[in-house]
Amino acid sequence: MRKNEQIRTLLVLIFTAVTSLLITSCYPDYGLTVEDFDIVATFKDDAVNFQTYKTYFMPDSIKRLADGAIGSSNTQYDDEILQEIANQMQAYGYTRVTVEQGADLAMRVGITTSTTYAYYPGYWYGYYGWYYPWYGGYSYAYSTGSLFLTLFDPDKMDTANKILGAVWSGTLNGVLDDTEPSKLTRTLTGIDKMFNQSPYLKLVP
Amino acid sequence: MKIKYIIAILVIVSCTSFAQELLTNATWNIGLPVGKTSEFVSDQGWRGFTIAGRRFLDDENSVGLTFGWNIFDERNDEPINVDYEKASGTISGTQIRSINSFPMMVSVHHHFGNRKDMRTFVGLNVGTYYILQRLDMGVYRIDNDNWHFGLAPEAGLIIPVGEDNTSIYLGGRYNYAFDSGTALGGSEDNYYTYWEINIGFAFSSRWF
Repeated sequence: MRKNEQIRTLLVLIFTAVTSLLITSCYPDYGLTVEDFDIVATFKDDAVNFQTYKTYFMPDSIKRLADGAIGSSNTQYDDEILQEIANQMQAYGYTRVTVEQGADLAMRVGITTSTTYAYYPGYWYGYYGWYYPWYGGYSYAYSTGSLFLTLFDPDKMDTANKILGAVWSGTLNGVLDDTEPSKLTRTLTGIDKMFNQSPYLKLVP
Repeated sequence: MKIKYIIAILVIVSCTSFAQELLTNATWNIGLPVGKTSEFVSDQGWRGFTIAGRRFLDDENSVGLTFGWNIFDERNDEPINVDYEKASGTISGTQIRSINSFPMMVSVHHHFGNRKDMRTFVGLNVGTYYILQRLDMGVYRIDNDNWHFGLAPEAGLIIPVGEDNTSIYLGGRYNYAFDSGTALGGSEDNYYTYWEINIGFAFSSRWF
């Protein structure tokens, strides 16, 4: 009788161990690809009526916000990026003009990159404390990049109060550990998404 | 404060009633988020377990302890709308949303039927939930965790198999973790509700 009870207790312990193992080891990866780590965020000034704008100015270059960082000085695809922004602005009814012509809005485009270093201590690190800190651990690094689009209204700029007059901003953030053609495709898709999720920018004829 | 005393008394009673049957059960849990919880994660949770023990005070009534872990998670591509005082925006991207719920409760149960036959039961679990709400988006992770007071009424079947006091355990439990702290995103409305189906084994013994 005593033996049966011990077997039952053992069954409970095995059930607990197996279930715990299933819970902790079978965390799904959801089949994520590098594109799934792209985030697009857009914000607008709620007080602004975009229908009052008709023209915009955009420089022919992209501002590097972190010169010298990995990838940030790579200007290989700047033309494609600026062209895609211009295409989207045109599709939304805006006319690109020069500074001299006096634009209603100014589009500023910036890129920044950064590298994150991380260390995964391994399963047994906490259990054995400092005795076996190397067991099962590994370090890794990943680089991320962000593309910033900002629309400024020069009439709202207030240098005395340090107000830049930004009325809309779009940000694309993603992992840079990818092939160059894929990075370009993801960037252009991200720009399209910025405009798609900002329908209020579209001018009504 | 009164609740703390009630819980303490139930724990003491459950640990000092040596003369009666001890029923231990271990179950695999299938969870179904409902109400506001399903707004964050709507998919069923297929990963979860409960370990519980009941000390019988007489042939029908028991007090006990319940511990568990339920995981709810899903991939979600719905854009998040953000509103500030003077600005508003939209954030889009693949999100992995998850809720980990750890109930730690004392329980009271009433059983119907003979101990050697199939028994049905109804019961109430009272205690705390530690709930971790998590949002992974891009390379960013936002965690929000809180301790909640909670209730979990339940009902089920204990079906004996063989003659060694081992039974199949089938149960259903409704979990209500009361409002506590703030939800991920800052909302003050931070309660959780979900159903559980419990499938497993129960072991009856008189030693402890």
